[in-house]
Amino acid sequence: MQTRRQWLLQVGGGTVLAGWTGVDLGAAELPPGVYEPSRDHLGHALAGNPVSPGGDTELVQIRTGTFQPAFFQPNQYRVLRQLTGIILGESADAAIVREIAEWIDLTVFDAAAVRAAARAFSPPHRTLAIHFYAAESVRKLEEFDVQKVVREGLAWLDAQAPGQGGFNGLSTQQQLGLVHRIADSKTDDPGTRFFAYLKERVIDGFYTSRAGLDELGYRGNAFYASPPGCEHLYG
Amino acid sequence: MAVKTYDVIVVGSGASGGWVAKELTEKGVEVLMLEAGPPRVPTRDFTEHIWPYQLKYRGFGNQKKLLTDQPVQRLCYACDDYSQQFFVNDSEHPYTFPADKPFMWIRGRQVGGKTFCWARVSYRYSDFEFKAASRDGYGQDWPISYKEMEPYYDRVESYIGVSGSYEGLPQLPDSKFLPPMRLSCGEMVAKEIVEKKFGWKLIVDRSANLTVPLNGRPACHYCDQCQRGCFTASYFNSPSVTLPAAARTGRFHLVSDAVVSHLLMNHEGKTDGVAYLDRSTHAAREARGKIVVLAASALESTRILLNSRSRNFPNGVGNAHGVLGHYLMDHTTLEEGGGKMPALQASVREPVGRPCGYIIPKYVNTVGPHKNKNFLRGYYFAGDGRQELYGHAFSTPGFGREFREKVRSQIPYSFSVYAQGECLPRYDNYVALDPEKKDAWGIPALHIHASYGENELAMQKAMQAHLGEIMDALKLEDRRPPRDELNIFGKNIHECGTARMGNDPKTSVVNAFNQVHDVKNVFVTDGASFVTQGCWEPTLTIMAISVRAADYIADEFRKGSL
Repeated sequence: MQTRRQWLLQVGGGTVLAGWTGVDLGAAELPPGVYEPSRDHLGHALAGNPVSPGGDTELVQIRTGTFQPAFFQPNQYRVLRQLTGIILGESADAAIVREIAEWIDLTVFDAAAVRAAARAFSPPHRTLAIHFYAAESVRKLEEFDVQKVVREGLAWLDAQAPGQGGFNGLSTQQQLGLVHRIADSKTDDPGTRFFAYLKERVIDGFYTSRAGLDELGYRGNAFYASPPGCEHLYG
Repeated sequence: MAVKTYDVIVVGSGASGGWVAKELTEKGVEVLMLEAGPPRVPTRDFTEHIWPYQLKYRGFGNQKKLLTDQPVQRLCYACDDYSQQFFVNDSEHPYTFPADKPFMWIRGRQVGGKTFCWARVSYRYSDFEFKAASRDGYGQDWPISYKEMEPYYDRVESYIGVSGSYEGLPQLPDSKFLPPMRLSCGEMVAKEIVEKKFGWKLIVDRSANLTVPLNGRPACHYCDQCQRGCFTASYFNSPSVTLPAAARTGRFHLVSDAVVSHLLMNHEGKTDGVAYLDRSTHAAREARGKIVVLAASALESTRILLNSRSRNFPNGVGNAHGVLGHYLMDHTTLEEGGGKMPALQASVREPVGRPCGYIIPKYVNTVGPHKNKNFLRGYYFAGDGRQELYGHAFSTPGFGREFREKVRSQIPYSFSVYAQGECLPRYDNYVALDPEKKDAWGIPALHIHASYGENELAMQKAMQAHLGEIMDALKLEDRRPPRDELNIFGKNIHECGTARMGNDPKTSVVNAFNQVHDVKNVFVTDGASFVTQGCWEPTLTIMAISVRAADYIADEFRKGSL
C-alpha cells in the first residue's frame, strides 16, 4: 500500500495538484451524491485499491491457491498456455501467460451465456442492434459458437500429434511447427479457426496488461500539466 | 402532520436542474430537488485511473450482464466496463417504438444525471438556430434571440469553464473561453489542407474541461476518462459544480431515489407539487411546492407532463392543443469515416489524453460559398487524429517476439471524420404514452415515433460527398468509408423538443421563459423546450436557458405572481 505522498510523486500528480489546496466548504454539509474535488478520492484510486465495496465495478479477484479453469479441462488448459506462450514468445509458465490464459478461460466460459443472451433479445432490442452494428455483426454474435471453435480446434491439434498425449506430447519444435501451419493460414479448418480466435484474444489480453501497455509505450491514463498535442510539426 | 411546502420543486439533477437549483437558492428561494436515481459515491462508483488489467473483464465488459440488463444502454460508447453504472437498467426502463422506426434512448438516472458521461462539447447557438425559420421559412423561430441569450451563455461559461479558441465565426459564436487545448499532429496536417482546399477552419473542440483552475476546481490532468467520473471535478458535471453551490446556500434539499410520476393539480388549475415513488420500495409519496420545474431530460419531462392527466387536463398538462410530445429532434450523423496517415506512422509513442477532438464548423448554407439548395440547414465535421493503440495488431501477421516488435515499432496514425447535421422539427416525430407498457414503478412507458425525413436524407447525400472529398484531400489510406446509413434516431443523445417554446399557446407548450402556457407555476427547462437545435450539441444552451428561466422564476416568485 502506497502512501499518498508516494503516489503523488510517482504519478506526477504532485506537480499538477501542487498549487491547489481544495475548497473551503464552510458550514454546509453536502448531500449524498454531491461532491467537491478531492485528492483523497484520487489517492484512493491510485493506491491499488481502486473502488470501495458495494458498487457495480467488477474487479479482478485476488486468488489464493491454484487456478481452476472453468471451461478448459486440465490437459486442454496446458495447450492453451502453450499456445498463448508461443503467440507471445514467452514460456508457458510466465506470469503474463498465466494472467492472459486465465482471462481467456473466463471469456470462453462466458461465451455460451453471452451468445444465449444475444439470442434472447426481444425483437425491438434486436432491431436496435442490427441498425447499430449492421446485420452481419448481430448474426455473428448470435451464431458464432466460441466454445465449439475452441473444442474442435483442440481436438484437431491433438489429432495432428502422432503419439500419446496429443499436442502436449509434442516437442517444443513440433508444437512450433504446427502453429506455423495454422497461423495466418488461408485454409479453413478447425485448427486455423481456433488459432485465429485465440490470437485475437491473446492480443486483447496482452495489450491490456501492464507488460503489454509498457511495451507499447502507452502514454495515456496519466497526469499532464498541459494538454497533449502536436509538438513537432508546427511548434 | 403538516406537509412542508417548498418554494420550488426541481425534478431532475442534471445540467438543467443543477443550474436552476443553484440560481434559485442563491437568490433566496428554497428548493427541493427530486432525483429518480441514487447518489453516486466517488470512492465507490468512479473508475477514473483504473487500468484494464485491474478489471475482471479487462475493459471488455461483462457481456452477458450488459446484453441482458442493458441491451440498449450498452450501445452508447460510454456504457462500458468502467462506466455502465452511470446508465439505467433497460428492463426497469422500457419504451416502445414502431418496428421500422428504431429509437435509442440512452438514460442516466442518478444525482448528476447524464452530466457524468456527457461528451462535454460546448457550443453556443446563434441566430442561425434561434431565428432559423425567418431565414429559410421552415418551422418556427425561438421566441428568444442570440442577443437575449448572450449574457446567459456568459454566466454559464464563466462558472463551468469552457476551453476553446476565439474564431469570430458568425455561425458558431465564441464563448468566454479558457485557453484552448491543442490539435494533434494529424489534425495539424489536416487543418492546413482543409483550410486551403475548402476555406473551412479546422479547430480544436470547445469542451467543458478546465485548462486552468477555476472557482476552486483544479485544471484537467488529461487522463481522458471523463465518463468514469472525475475526482478532481475538472470537467463540468452537476454534482461537483452546480449542486455544491446550491448546497452551500443552506436552502437546498435533495431527495434521491424519488421517481416522479405526475404533477399534483389543484382546483385552480395550478400545481401543488408532484407524486413520486421510492425507487427501492416503490412506496407512493408526495412532495408539495408552490412551483414545479421539470428538468428530468427532454423525454422524461414530457412523459411526466403527459402522465399528469386529470379532469381539467385530460391529455396531460401543457397539452391543451395537442402539441406536447411533438417536434422531437436528434442530430443525424454519418459516422465511421477515416483512414490512415502513412506519413505520420512512427515508432515512438506520443502523449495522449486530450479529452476532445477537432471540429470543422458548419459552413454549408450559413456563410461562404457552400450553399446547397437540396436541403435546408447544414452540418459540421468532427473526429480526431491519433496513433493506434493496438488495433493494428489484429492485422499484423505472425506471432512471437517478432510479431510483438512489429506491433510496438510500427504505429499507424489514424484520422477519423464524421458529419453531424440538423434534424428538422416535424410534428410527425413524437412521443406519447404507451397504452400498455409500464416501467418498473408502474408509470406508463413512452412510445417513441421518430424517423428522418426527406431533408435529412438529402443532407446525408451532401455529407457523404463532402466526407469523400475531405478524405481525398487528406490522401487517407486504408480508407474506411462512412456508413451508408444515418445513425439510429436518438443515438447522439441530443434528443430535444416535445415541449417546445413559443409565443403562441396553440403551437407551443412553454413560453420564452420555459413556463407552461396552460399552468403558470410549471416550468420545463431542459432540452424538451428546444424549437430547433441546429447541428450543435445542446447542453450548453440547455444550461443557458435554465439560468434564464431561473432568473424569471425568482423574479416572479418575489412578486408573488406565481
